[in-house]
Amino acid sequence: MFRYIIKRLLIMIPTLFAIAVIVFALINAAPGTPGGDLNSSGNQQANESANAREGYRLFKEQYNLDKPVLLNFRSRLTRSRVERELETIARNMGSGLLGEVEARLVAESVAGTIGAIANADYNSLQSQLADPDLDDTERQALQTRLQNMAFVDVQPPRPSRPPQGRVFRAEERVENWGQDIVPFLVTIANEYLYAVEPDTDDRWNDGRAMLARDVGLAPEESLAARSVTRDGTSYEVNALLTRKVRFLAAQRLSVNARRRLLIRPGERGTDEEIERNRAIQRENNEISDWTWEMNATDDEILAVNAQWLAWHAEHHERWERNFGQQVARIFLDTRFALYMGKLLPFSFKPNFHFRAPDLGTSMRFRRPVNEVIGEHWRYSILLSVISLLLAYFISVPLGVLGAVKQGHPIADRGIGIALFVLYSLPAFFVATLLQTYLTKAKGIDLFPVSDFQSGDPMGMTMFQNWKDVLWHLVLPVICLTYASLAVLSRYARTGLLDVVRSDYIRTARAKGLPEWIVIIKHAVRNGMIPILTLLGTTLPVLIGGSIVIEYIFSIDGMGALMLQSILQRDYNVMMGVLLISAVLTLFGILASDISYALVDPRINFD
Amino acid sequence: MAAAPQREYPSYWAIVWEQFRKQRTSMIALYTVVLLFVIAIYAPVLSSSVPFIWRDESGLSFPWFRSLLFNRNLFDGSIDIFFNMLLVLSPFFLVSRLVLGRRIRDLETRKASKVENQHLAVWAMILIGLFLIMNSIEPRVAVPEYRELAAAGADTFSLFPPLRIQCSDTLHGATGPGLSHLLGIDDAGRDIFVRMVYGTRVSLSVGVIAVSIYITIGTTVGAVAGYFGGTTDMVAQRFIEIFLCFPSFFLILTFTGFLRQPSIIWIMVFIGIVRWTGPARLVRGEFLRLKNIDFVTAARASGLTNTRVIFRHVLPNAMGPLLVNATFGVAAAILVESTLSFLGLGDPTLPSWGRILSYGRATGDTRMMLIAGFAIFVTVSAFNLSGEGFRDALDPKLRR
Repeated sequence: MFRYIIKRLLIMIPTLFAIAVIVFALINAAPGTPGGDLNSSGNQQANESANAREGYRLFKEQYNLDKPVLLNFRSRLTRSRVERELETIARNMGSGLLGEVEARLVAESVAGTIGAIANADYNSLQSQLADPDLDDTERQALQTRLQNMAFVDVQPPRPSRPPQGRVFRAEERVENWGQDIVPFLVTIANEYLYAVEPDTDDRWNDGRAMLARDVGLAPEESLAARSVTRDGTSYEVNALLTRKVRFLAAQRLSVNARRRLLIRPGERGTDEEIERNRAIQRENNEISDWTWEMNATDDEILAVNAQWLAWHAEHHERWERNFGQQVARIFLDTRFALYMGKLLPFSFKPNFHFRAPDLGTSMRFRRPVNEVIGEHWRYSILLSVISLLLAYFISVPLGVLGAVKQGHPIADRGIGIALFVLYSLPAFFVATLLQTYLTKAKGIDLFPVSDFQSGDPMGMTMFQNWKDVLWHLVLPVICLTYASLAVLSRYARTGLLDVVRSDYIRTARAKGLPEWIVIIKHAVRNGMIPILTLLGTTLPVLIGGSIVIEYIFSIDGMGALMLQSILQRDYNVMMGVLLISAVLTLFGILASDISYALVDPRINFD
Repeated sequence: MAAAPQREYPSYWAIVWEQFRKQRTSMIALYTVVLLFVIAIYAPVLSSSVPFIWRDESGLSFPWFRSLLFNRNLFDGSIDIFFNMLLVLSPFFLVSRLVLGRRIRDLETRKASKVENQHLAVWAMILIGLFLIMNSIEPRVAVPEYRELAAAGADTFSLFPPLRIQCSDTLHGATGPGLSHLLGIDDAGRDIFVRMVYGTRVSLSVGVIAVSIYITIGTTVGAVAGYFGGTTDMVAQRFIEIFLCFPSFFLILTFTGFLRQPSIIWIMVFIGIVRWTGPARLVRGEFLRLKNIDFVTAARASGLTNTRVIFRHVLPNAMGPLLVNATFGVAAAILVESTLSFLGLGDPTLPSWGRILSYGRATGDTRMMLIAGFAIFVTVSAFNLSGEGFRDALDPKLRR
């Protein structure tokens, strides 16, 4: 027996793991961003205001949504990969520039120069045309010449815009990479150079950036470079794109280099933690200002870059990981691993101790899911326990009666059919009817319409309070109980019928015991084994089944919580409730199996 | 030598049917189920916005028949198309069944039932094929407002189905039962009775299709696990165990929550993929019981493939419990769908009974609540009682 229990408990570990995996997969397979409605509006705002974007980033950080799902290969990221994403964003960057600076940059860039040279005649004609002293014939002649002259349309150096989806993805990626790309960003902000071969056909479209590192230019030099030479080939520098990418890199740095707070707002920590937290906050605030505007002068840019270089030199050990740490990160710094780690009932930080599994934070309540569930839990439990007890107290005698008077038109068949009819009545129908006709809504004012208790429990004595709660619970309990009656009494009846036919009952009768003693003392004891073991599996089901009842009677229990979370896409609460009910069911099954073995010594599991 | 006249033994299902017929309650329940299906299939005959016969300046036409094929009747969806196809095919099927019945009268039982089965399969394929074709045809013909035309034009002749779908005067608000609207209309001007009739289509299709989905999954998993045993069985068992831990309604609710706009097809699929564990365990148990019996060994010894042994030799013997499970399952699926609709998570385009009930509750219209609730109750108990009847009929201990 003991071995059996141990075996079952051991089997439960992989089962629990699988349950957690399924729940995790389920939530991650959910369409749209987790957080759903909370963010669907946030996404649009994100492009409008930096504040909303920062809120969204913090949200992602808090729920680990910025981490890869299963495997984290971010230590394998390369600088050119980061540059590619930044270029995508930069190409989409519209008129972030002011007129004068843009004109200067366009002029600096080759396109501007070529355009100016190629269209010199055209431009002079244009300026002549603008002369107010011209008479009509001259104007006519000029216009004809202008029309016949080809305007060389040199595109300003804005490469074709990438598709919007790609830009969004690029922004999302660069944001999610967070701290991992900070060293790259520092280099990019300092040295990046968008240089293309002059003779390629689509020189402004898909010319790959050439790194300043390859050319070997100093930061100041590269900022002013118009063209660079490498291996005898001369490359043209696209000043506008170069500036945009560096601008983006500096801006990203000011966000990505921020460190995660040790203590989130609303949490408590030790003094030391608070101190460290404050330091982090100070640093975060400081570096968040280290950016430059698009129309900044070269000196301003160099000044900011120098700040970043110094900062990085000071803190570079943050990005130094040995091989073991890198490998560990692949598996441990992922959404899945972090989620599983939180679910473990023990923690190694700061040293080994047991704790309650952490189900994350509710997006709707902005509080830990554990707390939220804990609050809703008691309503459901009270409701379930009362109705379960009631169901057993009614159905067992009914079942026994049916078995004893087997075939009796009323006691057996009549009750059987009545229970069956009850079983087929949808719970929400009965609940609605009771609520309509037995409360002041429409019928007799007998019971309160909804809620768990009257408005103000403070003004009542404990007895009054209990009476009030029970009074509110009458209708919900009726609705929860009636359907299980049919199932339970059927179990009781068949259980007893099996026993009544056995030999030892015949013996008991033969030795002259009165019939009621035979039934009560001998038969019922063994006949109720199946229904007793059913208890273990019924409790979780009752909690699950009470969604409708809690919804109708506005009881703020687990079912109502689940329903609201689904409607508002509060995924962490959904996960929590699903997980808890699954685990409860698992334990329920185990308990019923074990109780089966305990009650019935004939069953030998070894 | 003339063959001695063989004595004909009734087949297994003939015995079961004989047993089933002896139970009065179950028979009534079965009749109710059949009646519900008839109502669902022939709903457009009762009420539609297009007339059977229509005559105006341009001549005589029969828009109703055309509308069955090319317009969705009242509620734009695949379910209506499916039931319309059933409606269109049903007379042809009945005629061909009558002809077939004559032809196989003199055949022996086994052959006759084989021919019958083939006949049924062919018609099922025609039905499904036609449905798929019709479901993919776009665009559909726009329907003129025949009722208004009939009211306006003096020289038209029309014959409409007896019931109106929508009250022309929506400003009236809810009204009570009357001759033109059997159960009255709700405050949006919709005829409650007609909505209830079309709701039958929703409930029945959810029940049947969801159950077919999970019976298929469950049977396959259970059969494979039970027949092959060993590691396969162990893996399947663990899988079932894990699935059993999730309260099914919670899981269905979660899935439904993922949809932006819940559609009835997805609800069927969700019920299907959540509830398969029941039949899987059932079939596995039956297979474990049957696989070592001599007739299976004989089938295997004669070199049949595993697939053939599973589907032609073992599975037919496990059909009885599966049928009982399916019948109860239909009732449960209908309940789940109406509960979802009641909670506002159902398909908002369809007149589901649960939705009607919750609409009645929201608007304080007791009549709608009672009607819809009663309809669900009757349907669910009809299926449950039929299942009960099948269970008793299958039980050799209870044979009378």
